[in-house]
Amino acid sequence: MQDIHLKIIQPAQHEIGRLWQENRISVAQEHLATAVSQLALSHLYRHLPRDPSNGKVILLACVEGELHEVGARMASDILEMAGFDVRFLGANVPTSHLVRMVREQTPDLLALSVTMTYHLPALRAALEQTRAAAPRLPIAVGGLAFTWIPGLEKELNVTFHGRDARELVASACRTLGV
Amino acid sequence: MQTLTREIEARAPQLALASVEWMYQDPFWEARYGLERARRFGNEDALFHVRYLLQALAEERPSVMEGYATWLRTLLVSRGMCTRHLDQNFAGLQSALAARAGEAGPVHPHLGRGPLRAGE
Repeated sequence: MQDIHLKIIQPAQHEIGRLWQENRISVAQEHLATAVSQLALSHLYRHLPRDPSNGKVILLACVEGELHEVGARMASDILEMAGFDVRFLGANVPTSHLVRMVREQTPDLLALSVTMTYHLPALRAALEQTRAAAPRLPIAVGGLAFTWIPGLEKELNVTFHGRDARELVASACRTLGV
Repeated sequence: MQTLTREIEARAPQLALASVEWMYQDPFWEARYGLERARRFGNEDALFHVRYLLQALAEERPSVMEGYATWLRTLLVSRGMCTRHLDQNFAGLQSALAARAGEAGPVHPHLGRGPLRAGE
């Protein structure tokens, strides 16, 4: 099932982005194609082969302002397949609401996704505020924004940086001891 | 760095306009896109350049601007511009910033070179 996510839907999303960049499809067509990917993910969701629950809760969100959620959604599915209990909050989660949810749900791990470098200030704000609310909560970051700023993850002092969903799962297992 | 970022942020629309206003004297723009459309998208792009510059300053990473320029090249060339126009955009922004800082230098450094031809 991971192959459908990582070898079909993810490359399809990259191709959609490239076609828009090259002016071969319009924004409307790009949105339509992304909706098809979202629909496929929705259909697949209830058929995901899940490992037995490992009892660990992961909160996964796109930072405030970030509208690109397909990558984070696929990462959520792949974490679920690995036995994590994932609470996926989707795109554009206001920082204050994210912090409130961290307090209420006390997850074992918080994962934050950023696609556009525009939203790195929102990531910094989310890190600062969640750390204040839950100082020992491990935090993972990931997303395309990191490709333009090599080494940023070290500066942010996060628990780990997932370059792809598989790496995120491996790091989450290692960090949470499952 | 924060003071500089704040100052540029406060004047972003004016800097963006100053960076490209001279460019529209080149008949290429009207011929290729029509003047209204050329100005609308040209001014919009110029503001994006300033915003990405601000990000690069905020992160203290030139790689943000490099990544943006590389990504933008494909985007704009596939929409009828040429890579030299992008160079002009950035040079215009540099001049607008220099003019703002009170440094010597013309606001429109490429005007003396004559109009660019499409595809140049």
